[in-house]
Amino acid sequence: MTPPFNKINTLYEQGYPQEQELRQFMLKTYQQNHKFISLLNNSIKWVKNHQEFISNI
Amino acid sequence: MFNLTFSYNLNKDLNNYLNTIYKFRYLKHGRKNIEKTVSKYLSKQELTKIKTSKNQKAATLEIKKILLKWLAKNQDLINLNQKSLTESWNNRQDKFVTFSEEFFEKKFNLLPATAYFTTLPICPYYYPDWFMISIKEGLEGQLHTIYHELFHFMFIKHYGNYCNNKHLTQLEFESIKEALTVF
Repeated sequence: MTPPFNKINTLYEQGYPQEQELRQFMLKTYQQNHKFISLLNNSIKWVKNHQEFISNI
Repeated sequence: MFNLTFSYNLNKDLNNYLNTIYKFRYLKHGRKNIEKTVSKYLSKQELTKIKTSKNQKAATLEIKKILLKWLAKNQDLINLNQKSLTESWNNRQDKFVTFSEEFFEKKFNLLPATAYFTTLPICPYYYPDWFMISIKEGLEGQLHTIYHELFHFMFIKHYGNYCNNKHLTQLEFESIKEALTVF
């Protein structure tokens, strides 16, 4: 089993195309701080500032 | 101890066809060819019959015919899939639970759930009760579906209200939920 964000180079770990940018952001964020709530709060800020990636999912 | 049961339900499979083949009603998440992908196991004739049904009731009848025909030939596959998945999930469950608890920093205290087989390659879920697993996938892919859907369940259970309090829209929440789920 591959830990989340350890690598994102396989079919399953790539996830959906629409979320690729957000996933890359999460990867960097989680590598800096392995706290889930910190990851979530930063992800929330990210989606609020990147509406173009989620407007047509 | 989390309890996951594997089962087949004709009406649930049928609803999956109505929501994907008759009319695609799920979020696409940027999957450009998803409508083609989900219909790959149907013959051209079956696909046409469903898609050109005059209404949902007629589509339901067509889908039911297709599924009953499939079931008559493949009931043994359902039984074998139940057996193999039960065994492999039991072998891997503890590792997955530990891993999920460490990642989310929360107890893996989900309610008992059912994994229903679908004959389509798309697997919806209904938190907290059930999710689907494609019977067309191999064992490894089916296990990944379990990991994927239970990751959603953990996120919704422990952080759904938190996101709601942060005034996330449904689409914003969906994006974060899917991006977080690496399986």
